[in-house]
Amino acid sequence: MKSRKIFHTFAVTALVAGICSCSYEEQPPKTTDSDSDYVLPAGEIPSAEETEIVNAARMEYEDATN
Amino acid sequence: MRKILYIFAACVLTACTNFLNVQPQGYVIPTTDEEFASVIETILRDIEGGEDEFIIGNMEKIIRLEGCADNLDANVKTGNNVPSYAGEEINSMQHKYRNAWPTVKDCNIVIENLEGRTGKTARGALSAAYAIKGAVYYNLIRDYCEPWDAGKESTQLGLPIVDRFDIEEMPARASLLETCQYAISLFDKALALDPQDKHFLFTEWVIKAFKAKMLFWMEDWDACEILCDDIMQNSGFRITPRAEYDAMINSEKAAKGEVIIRSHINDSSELDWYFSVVKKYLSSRPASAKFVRLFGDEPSKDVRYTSSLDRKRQNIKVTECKIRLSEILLMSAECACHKNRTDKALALVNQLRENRIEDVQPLTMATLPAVREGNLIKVDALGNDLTPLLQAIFDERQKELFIEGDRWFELKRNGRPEWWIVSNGLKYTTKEYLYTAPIYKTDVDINPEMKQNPGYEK
Repeated sequence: MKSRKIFHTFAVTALVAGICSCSYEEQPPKTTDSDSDYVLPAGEIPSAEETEIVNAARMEYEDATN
Repeated sequence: MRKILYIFAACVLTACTNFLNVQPQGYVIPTTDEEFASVIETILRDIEGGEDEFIIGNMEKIIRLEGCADNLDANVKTGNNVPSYAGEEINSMQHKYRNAWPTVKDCNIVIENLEGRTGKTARGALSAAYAIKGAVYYNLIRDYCEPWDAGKESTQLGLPIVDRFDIEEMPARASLLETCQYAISLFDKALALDPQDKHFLFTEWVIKAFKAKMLFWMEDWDACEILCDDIMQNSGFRITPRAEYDAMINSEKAAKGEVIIRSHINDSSELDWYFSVVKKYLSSRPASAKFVRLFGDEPSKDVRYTSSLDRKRQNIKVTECKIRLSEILLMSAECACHKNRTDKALALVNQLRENRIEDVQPLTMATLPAVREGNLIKVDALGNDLTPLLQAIFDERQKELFIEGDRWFELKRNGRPEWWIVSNGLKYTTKEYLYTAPIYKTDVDINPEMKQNPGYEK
């Protein structure tokens, strides 16, 4: 009878310890609305003057290196 | 019954041994001086093999920095695999922030375990750990903090100060002042150990060069000038003369002449095949006309031009990160200029030009060219208008450190000018906030105390 009590006590203790030690959460904490990337700035349509500057730079390069 | 009890107890207790065995299989938890030194040697091997991006830097870093700056002209030709402008790099930069911290973690483990040990190996590794950690902080400060704003440095955002290895700690960002002072303290601790062993790369003059660069970023002109002069007078390095410049700057692997430290001095990297391709990427975008005009009417007289560009204005300079005595000289000149010691600043500029340009006449205050209208940099680090002398220092710096990843930080340090490029028919503007990269977004999402840099909120 005594040994049976010891066995039951031991079994319950092992069970409780086992269940408690299972609480470790392996997943890192996350927020539900998180996204890992930022949205990149959008490009704009260059004005005629800006396009002219770019074309002039390309022309200058062609003239200087050919 | 007792037998069953014994068997049960034996099973439970035996099972615990595996649960408690935390040592990773196949790895050694370091205990001896040599084992801790090997942690540092792994980092040094990455520097020597060209893989390190966070201490000395490598080709990848140069591609990013030069792609985002204005020395190369994205309007003429975007090129292959070179970022068009800084906005493209937002997400890769936040991931690089995360990737830098494991080096700090490794240094902390070495520091915590080797502090107080007196053996030669222990002191060498400990000094290198302090210096490497300081260098990582220096690079993170330049990338992820706004430029030093005198008077506001106590409230500007710095970085988390991670002094000890603690896996559960989630420190918030300290102020910029505290972070810079922390980096300086790391260099001082490294220097206090009298680092002379070249095996650990970070010897006295390398650490002093990093400390000078940190002081320069902090606009501590007096302290920086003293340190730069110490390096110039006592390190044994001399400005490489014109005749030896090409061999020095285009050395494939060796640190020659005035090079204090550089990346990729051997072929130990598994990525060497990749680096051989990366070199061609930078050549695919030509230098801008503005940059070429800095060399004057006879650019071929300047060895920096002939060693850096071909007739198509494409880069031919070896693309490796380095710290050279010329940079130290130019920092000293700018410090002297800010402290109104114009004679000294001019003398240093002339010293560099004599070693770079054939038959050059010394500049005087009277013959310095007037400040140009079209400069992208219009104000200095203090927000004052450029002077002819400061412009001359900036011009020499731009020519000297071309394709060494310097220009981007010069733009950031001196007013963060906004400018645009056109790529694939669309205009992209390098806005002021883009000079400061975002820290890792997940860190901000997880830790409510962690503040993101302006411009990147959601």
